[in-house]
Amino acid sequence: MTHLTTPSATDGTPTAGEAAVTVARLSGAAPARWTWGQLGLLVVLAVVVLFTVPNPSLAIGMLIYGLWAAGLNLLVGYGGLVSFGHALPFAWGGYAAGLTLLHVSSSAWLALLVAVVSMAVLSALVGAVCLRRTEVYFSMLTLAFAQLGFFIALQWDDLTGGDDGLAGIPVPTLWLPGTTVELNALRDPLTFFVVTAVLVLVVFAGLILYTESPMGRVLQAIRESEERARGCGYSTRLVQLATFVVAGAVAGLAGGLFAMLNNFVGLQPYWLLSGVVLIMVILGGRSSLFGPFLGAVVYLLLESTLSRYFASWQLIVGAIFVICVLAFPQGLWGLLTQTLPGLFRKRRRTR
Amino acid sequence: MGQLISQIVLGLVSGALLVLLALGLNLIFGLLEFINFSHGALYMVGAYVASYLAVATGSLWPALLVVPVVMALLGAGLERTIIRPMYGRDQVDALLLTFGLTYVLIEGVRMIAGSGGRRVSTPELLRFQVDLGIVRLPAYLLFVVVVVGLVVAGLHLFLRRTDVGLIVRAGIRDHVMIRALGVPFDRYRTLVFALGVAVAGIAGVLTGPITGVYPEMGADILILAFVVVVVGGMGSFWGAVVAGLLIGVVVSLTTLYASVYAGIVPFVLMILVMTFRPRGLLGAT
Repeated sequence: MTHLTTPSATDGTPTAGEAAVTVARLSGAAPARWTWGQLGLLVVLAVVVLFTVPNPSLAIGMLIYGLWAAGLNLLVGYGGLVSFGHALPFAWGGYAAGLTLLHVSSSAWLALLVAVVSMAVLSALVGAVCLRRTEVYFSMLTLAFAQLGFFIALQWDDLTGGDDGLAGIPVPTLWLPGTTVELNALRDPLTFFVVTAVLVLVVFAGLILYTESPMGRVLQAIRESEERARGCGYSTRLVQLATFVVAGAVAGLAGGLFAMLNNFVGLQPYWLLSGVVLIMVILGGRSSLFGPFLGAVVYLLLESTLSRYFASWQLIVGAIFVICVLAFPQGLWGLLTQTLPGLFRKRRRTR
Repeated sequence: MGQLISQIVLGLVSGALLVLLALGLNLIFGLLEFINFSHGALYMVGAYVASYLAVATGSLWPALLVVPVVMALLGAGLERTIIRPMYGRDQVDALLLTFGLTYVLIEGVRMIAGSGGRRVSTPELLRFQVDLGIVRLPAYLLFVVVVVGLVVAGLHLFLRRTDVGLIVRAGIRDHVMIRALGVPFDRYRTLVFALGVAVAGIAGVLTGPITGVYPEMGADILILAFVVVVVGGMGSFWGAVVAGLLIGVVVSLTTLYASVYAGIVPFVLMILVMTFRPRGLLGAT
């Protein structure tokens, strides 16, 4: 079989990157005007969360979950690859950061670096297997890998603490030019919040860059039609694998931050969250990177308020999710940016 | 030796239940082209309905007949109302929808029946041990294997020997052509979904006396059923049967000799199959 290559970039013909951009734009992916505006929205959201959410650990959690969900949306929304096992990189990041802090050094940078790099390597291996077939196969394989990870974490209790979890993770210290700060979420939540917010914003900007890059465009083109993208000469698996690695690394970072927030990593919160993070993505909207942040904030607000009054609050969340998929497949973000402005436009026209 | 054989039989029993779920998943995936994520939750609902029926009537026998009917109606209702709008949309949406449905079903059952499980008593008729020479086994386990065998045979005959089965198989091959021939395809989709759910319900009824029923019972077995579908080959009838029994026995033997690895073995098996034979053991290319 001959290997198809991209049309050569001679004068006049569009380059591979430009062609991919056109394909993605035509397919109606993220509206262009909201690309970098999302970064501003995230700053606003972080400030609002800081001043309105009374529980600091919930406020910091919103940022961390939001980042995790935004990373997952690279796969779900931009790649059309629904991962049911995104708890795996989150938990791995948590264990990696926690173990580094416990046994190596109390440097926050080192712990996060270990979490991100090791998860990127692991993601490359897991992705190589999961992406052998896409669509449903991919979903089920990611689920299976997460389950596999769960059993390993449960059984290897010398290292992970098994069922009891990894407790007593020391408070990390963060080296900054000229100073070092302690990241103690209990004693000084504001510092923790600001550091997390800055990290999250930087990574979020990186994610936007990724989706806007020619590679990100190819990813969206693959979602629309893998056959055509392959016909254009892109090695589609490689692009998907790279995205899988990026999403895994982001989740690893989020997991590491979450471990620092709670000074604890365990089976209980960590391994059960594959579904939760997916709900956040769909609830918030998968057509943008900011949507999942909205989803994370709304989900955690729902959880913290509903669970106070109603034991089966997940029933409501599940029902909202089903309605969301049925009626608002673009989630809250789609509702805010497309449905509502559409209503206003119609009203003006009828006037 | 006796221990080994009884462990193999136990594996065959749990494998047989997996086969029922995997066949339903496979059939639904074949014709409706999505993975029914709520299959495990529906199996759990079936088990709960059976547990209440067993208490009300004092025996499991009526449940074995009534539950498949109830579950088929539930399945048809779900397909007609919330799954139908998913056709023509991205495959992923149906997966997500049934994923959300899982939450609703599990939490709904938890709200009605409580978080704790319920015990289901074995039918009196089957409360004896069968002596196989080397080993004595509870008759109920053998009964489960027989029922599963009958269901699998019934499904096979339905697909191979009836006109409806012929259309279903043709629809799995090429539903555009089937529609062009004037077949009311939507009805067949409802039928197949109802059938798959009914079979999951039977598995639920059979599980009750073995492990009892509890709200999360569907979650773990669903993941294993996925593994069975992938290992056997997506869409392959006999692949699901072979892989289900194989995984049941392998897990059961690992529990006997190295219980630490029992949870991990099916996934390792699946990763191996996906690496060296991505289309599954008996899957078509």
